[in-house]
Amino acid sequence: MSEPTGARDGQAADESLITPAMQAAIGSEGEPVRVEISREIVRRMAEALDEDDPAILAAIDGDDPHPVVPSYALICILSHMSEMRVPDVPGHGLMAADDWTYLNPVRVGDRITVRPRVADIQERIGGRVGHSLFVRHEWICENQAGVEIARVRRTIAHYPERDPAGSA
Amino acid sequence: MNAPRTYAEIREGEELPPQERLPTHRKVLMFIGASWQWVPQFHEQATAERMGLEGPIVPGPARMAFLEQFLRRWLGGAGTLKRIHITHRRPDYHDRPITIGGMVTRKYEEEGGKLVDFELWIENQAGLPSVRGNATVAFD
Repeated sequence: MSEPTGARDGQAADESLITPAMQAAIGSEGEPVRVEISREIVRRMAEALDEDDPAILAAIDGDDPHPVVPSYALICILSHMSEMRVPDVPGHGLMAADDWTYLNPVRVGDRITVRPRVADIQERIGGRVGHSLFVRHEWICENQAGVEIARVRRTIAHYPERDPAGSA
Repeated sequence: MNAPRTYAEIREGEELPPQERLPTHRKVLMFIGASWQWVPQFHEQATAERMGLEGPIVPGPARMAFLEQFLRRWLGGAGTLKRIHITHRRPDYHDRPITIGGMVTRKYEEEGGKLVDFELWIENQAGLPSVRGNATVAFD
């Protein structure tokens, strides 16, 4: 990571965008959020994705109160994986990368505790969107037994407004 | 769905037959509703244009789910997805077809487990990569 300069506005293109406040945010943790994997929301996600796996459809609609569901069920709780606020990040943010590690099965009825943190901040000079910052957020997801079921890392590219965009 | 694949029958270098998919506006909205991802550039034309995009884009997590599904269908439900990593190269837009593809890159045993690595990708209508990624699946 580049050395922080504290400068942002009117700086030369090759000066670091990483401020001391940003640097201080690296490694910070947010308040845990608790959310349940509900059968109905998994069903809606399966429908949105045109799920056609008979075993998965049977699990979602079956009698088992706690069936194992596809790992994409965790996407249903994405709204509870808010990125922590990082001071001084410029302009717009677009998703640059996603990295999901699945450690244990996800089940309907699981009560997930999501623990957010700012994992890292890096910058890139001269990429497709120009001088930009890449903020890597991380969420650790544990079930009601305290077992870690997934670790989600998302990299958000931040760049000045009105620059050409190129990712989702 | 394919028949379940075994670790033994998977070959390094094997290509997964590409699959076309159409992320319709309606399906994208259903995805946004299910995941509660009401990010403006996912559904608002004006916001997307202000960001230099041609229109509302398919959310990144939806594209990851497409790749997970694609892989699971090819595996016939066999194996357990351990990790998926994707990078977003360019946006995909509502109502424009995409092609999903993949390849087996490595088979190996590690700490007593049987693992298979895959390269995965999504291409847009012009044949340009919109998503690149890789995944690891474990077998008993």
